[in-house]
Amino acid sequence: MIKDGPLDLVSAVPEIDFEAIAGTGYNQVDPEFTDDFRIEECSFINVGRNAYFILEPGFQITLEGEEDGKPILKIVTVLDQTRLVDGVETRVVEEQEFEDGELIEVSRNFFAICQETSDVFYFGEDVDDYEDGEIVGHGGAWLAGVNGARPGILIPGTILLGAKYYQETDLEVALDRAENVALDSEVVTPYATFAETFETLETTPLEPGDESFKNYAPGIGLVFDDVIFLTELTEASTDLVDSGSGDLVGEDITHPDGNVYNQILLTGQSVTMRTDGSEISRVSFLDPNGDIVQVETSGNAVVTVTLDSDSFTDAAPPAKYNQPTVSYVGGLATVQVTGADSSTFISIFTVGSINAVNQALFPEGEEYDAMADIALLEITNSAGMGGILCANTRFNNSTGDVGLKAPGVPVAVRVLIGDIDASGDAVPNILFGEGSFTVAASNPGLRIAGGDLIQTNEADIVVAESGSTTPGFDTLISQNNVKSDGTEQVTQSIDETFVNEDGDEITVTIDEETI
Amino acid sequence: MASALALTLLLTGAYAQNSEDFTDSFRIEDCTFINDAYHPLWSLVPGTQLAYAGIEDGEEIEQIITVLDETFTVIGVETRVVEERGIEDGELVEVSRNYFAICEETNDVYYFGEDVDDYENGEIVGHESAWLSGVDGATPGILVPGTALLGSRFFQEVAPGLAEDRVEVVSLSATVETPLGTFENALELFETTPLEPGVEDTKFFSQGSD
Repeated sequence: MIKDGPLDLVSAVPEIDFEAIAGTGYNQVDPEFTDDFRIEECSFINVGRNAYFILEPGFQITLEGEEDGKPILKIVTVLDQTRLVDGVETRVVEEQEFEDGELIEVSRNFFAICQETSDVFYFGEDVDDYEDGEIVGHGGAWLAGVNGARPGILIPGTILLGAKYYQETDLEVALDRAENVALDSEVVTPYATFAETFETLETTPLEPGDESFKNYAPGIGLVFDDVIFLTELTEASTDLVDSGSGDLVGEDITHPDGNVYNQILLTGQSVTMRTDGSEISRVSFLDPNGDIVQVETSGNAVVTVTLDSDSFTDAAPPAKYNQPTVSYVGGLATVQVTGADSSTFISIFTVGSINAVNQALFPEGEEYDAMADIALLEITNSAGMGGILCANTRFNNSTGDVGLKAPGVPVAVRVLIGDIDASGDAVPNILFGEGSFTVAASNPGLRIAGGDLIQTNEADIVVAESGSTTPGFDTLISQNNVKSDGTEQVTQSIDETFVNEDGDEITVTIDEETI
Repeated sequence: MASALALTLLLTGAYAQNSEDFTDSFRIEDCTFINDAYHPLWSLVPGTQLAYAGIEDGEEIEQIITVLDETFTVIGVETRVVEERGIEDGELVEVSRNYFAICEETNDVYYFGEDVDDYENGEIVGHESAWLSGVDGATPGILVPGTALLGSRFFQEVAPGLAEDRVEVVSLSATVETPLGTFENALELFETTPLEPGVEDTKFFSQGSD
């Protein structure tokens, strides 16, 4: 796309009136380094990460090395504390430095991440210099908004070679600046060998000639700092039960199929769990028919299970199961998911004879509905989903939204729904994002498993957002299924009306499959 | 604890790396791509159109850039088609269809390739510098970054032997006067390509008029 000559933006007349004048930034120290970062365009978050920096409470790294014959130790900890700096709620990251085993500096550094660009901004630091256990100074302390200082960038969201930028912008006290000098430096540390680190050269006009190199590994952060190397790392604290009423009754249980899962028992009306990529986590409760329901998630997500207050039942042993030692609360559930991505899978099902390890749970002759009756699965603020596996779920309610409501959220592999049945003034939904089913898999797409989608209130089923006529799926597949007690469900004919949120009718192609 | 470490440590980073290296690999695996969003430097909102004109070697040059209401899937990413029409002395000389998408996480505008039709006397006579990510080892480049930092060097086109435009961010505060208006704080990119040593170009991107 290179054109050899200058081209000007014109209204009509192609006459050249071309001029480029080098501008002058506010910072006169060294115009080669960027000091204006369009921070006004950022929405800041104080928990998160980019490829080379982790700002998650509890995350800690330890670096060790030697300088002038003395051992140096630095411990960097992302604290569970925030501080308002220059109008932005920043996260506090503490750095403790030891020389020869003696504490010489504790700094509290303030960071926030620009959500739009993933740049990690540095808003300043409080510094306590120590000598013999006493604070003797505050060298290098600075704060955005004070003395004309503004936030600098510690780590850009995208690493481009040659980029030069101020990390600190206090003209008198702190002017560290970095240049990205490599993207593929190998660094060998006692913790691990990192094949491709990003490397900065740091200088400061306040101490000409001083140079230091830092290396950052993807998914980890700082692994080398001038003379010290990563020796220990502690992952961010991941309390599974984030808030609400839930007991973590089992942790790291290995299922016979090899999966490792955590079991949370809902003990009140609502619980929120925060899951990450490494584990499968479940919340259990009783549905209105007395079936034990498991809401199971793998991958990144924040999942909230809330039982409707009208149908809520207090904790009691499950009447239909042989499990007198465990008390379940019950009710019609709404499941809300945020923070999910294309690696997140959610599965909602009942505990039945075909999926339970403990077959003694099921009394002889007991009749089960063997479908998880819940109201709604709602997915928001998520980059995507891997799969929604609710073949054993019957969504029903007489008010509000019923079914799957994930506007704009694409689902990579498949959406399975047992059935949806809205009564009263409830609105049935099969709503998820365009661009779904991009990952090749067996039995992909939207599948209604054993259900007929007949709505008690004869409502039309919402499959597209307001103003859109494009559902998240090309074809709706009706297929057979097996309930959790082993009962077979045959493929149903589906003859419903589909609409967008405005009520405009949408033609849906329906295929029937028996698998 | 620390003193025992020193001898076992080894740092193999190439400090003396060629300072003229241009970034040619980007973490696109971390990106969620969108193709219809506004970007302050390179909007992908369909219908956006920019017209440029100038004179080179005594000939009037025009370029019309139009964000089309069309997408095209390249290496699994649904990209936006941006048409560029090059006109010399009133005659159409080139129509290219360029494929772009924005990384939602970083706001970088990625360039996935282009189809090119070269015209002479109204007839297509060639397809010079066409390239496509996923073909012959080509991968997406960055047209403009989400955050422009001085000194940044990166390939806009990563198609070995076919298209290797690369740029350096040389100013964030350029003032450009055009017939349409004066633009301040423009991003200035200095463009070269190893395929044509000596060919240099300067481009300015503005967030808007004053």
